[in-house]
Amino acid sequence: MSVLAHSEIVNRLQSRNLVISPILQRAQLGDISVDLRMGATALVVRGGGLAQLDPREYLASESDQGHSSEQGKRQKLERFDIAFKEPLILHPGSLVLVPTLEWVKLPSDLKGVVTARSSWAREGLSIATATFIDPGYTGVITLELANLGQVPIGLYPGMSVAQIAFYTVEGGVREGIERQFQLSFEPQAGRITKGAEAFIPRP
Amino acid sequence: MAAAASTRIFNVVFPRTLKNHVLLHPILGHELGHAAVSVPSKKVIADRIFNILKVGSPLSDVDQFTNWLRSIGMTLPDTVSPQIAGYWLEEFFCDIFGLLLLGPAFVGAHGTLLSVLDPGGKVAGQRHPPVRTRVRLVKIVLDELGWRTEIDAILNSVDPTLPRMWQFLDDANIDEPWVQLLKDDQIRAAVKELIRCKADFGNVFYQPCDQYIIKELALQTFESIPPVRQQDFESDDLHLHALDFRCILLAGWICWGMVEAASANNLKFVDVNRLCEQAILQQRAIHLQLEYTK
Repeated sequence: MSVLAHSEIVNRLQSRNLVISPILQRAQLGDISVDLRMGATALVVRGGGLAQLDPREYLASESDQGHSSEQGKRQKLERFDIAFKEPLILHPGSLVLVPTLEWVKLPSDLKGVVTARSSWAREGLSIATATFIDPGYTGVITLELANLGQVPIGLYPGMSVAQIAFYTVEGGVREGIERQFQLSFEPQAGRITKGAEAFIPRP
Repeated sequence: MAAAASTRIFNVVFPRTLKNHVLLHPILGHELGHAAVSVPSKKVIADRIFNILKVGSPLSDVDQFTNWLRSIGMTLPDTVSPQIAGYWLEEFFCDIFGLLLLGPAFVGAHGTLLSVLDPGGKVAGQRHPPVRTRVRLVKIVLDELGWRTEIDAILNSVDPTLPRMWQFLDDANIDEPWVQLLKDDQIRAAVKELIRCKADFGNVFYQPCDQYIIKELALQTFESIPPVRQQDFESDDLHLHALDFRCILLAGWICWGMVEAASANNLKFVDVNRLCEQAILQQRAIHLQLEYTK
């Protein structure tokens, strides 16, 4: 496993083997990573009305379909569309899910690793992101932004907040494997109970 | 809808469930036509179009119109309000206006939504003419503007075996009196007159995009990538491309035509819509970047 350097990233972008679209400035293409910008949707996590985040609710919702499947996990997420040049205010201690502006399509021999840009981390903005982006992933990337500082942070759609590095995958990936968030158009709540069903009591 | 100064112009009710179905949003071009008619200076132009459309047609006279409605088997009240013809003319005007304003993507939205409202296309309402008469009008306008030929050429260059887009246009053009309410020449004359007045509408009518670009965007959408133009990463200048949202919508419709004909593509209609929605958002960002670096 090795990380792609600038020239290989450019080669792959040029040949469309790798898609990161759009790239608004050449400066977005770093030595071993590509900066990612914040998109224009936000899922703000609200604690009100919830005594606790209960995995049992998630388990129940995942075995159901339609609206009721969303009730358990979505009622604490409030969705906002943010216009360009309008700020999303992230208060200390709060968490928000935002998509990237860029559409990312990975080939089967690359995985992505998303991290915060250090300049933002120094201001208290943490990106506890999904970290690994699977080979074959297609869509926007969900960034989980948290304000660990003591003052509110204003975030504008289009700002570079994260970066993605690419690593080659050896041995190939399984064909037909279910991808959790493929063709992802906006942030989604995660499947926190995946693989842990045996350990969570039924509600 | 609101103007740049945040002045509310008019309200349009659109189902929330179709919020992300941007390929259907061009129908709002029709509603903008109604808004245009409500402005006195534009009403003068609309009246000219109404006159062109109604001369020599059953719409020109209440008695003639009543007889025409009866001849097609319509159940009518004792008296047909003279206003009905006026309402219908405005609907025809708004269809032409919407098509000129939002381009060929309007055709897809118009045909799809109207076919849901009235699959048979024969129901005539007090306010709305039968769907088939409207679809036929759109077909003639599209042909007059040469846009359908361009779309055919794009599809043909992708794959000559692909079926023609929007077959419902041809299906609607049947030789029956209730469909042939307006003469072809009247419709063509109305289009020409409205185009002649484009400056009165701020020159905002649709300008066809380069066929090659539309083809590339459609193919890109087919590959599950939002239809914004890709850059030349080997060039020193990372050139950003301006692109009208109406071209994105047309590319989306062409992609959907390709998906419907393909057996090995899993894209759903909502996926194509959301790819186009994402592209419109991204194109807005590109526009802001271009403005900044100008």
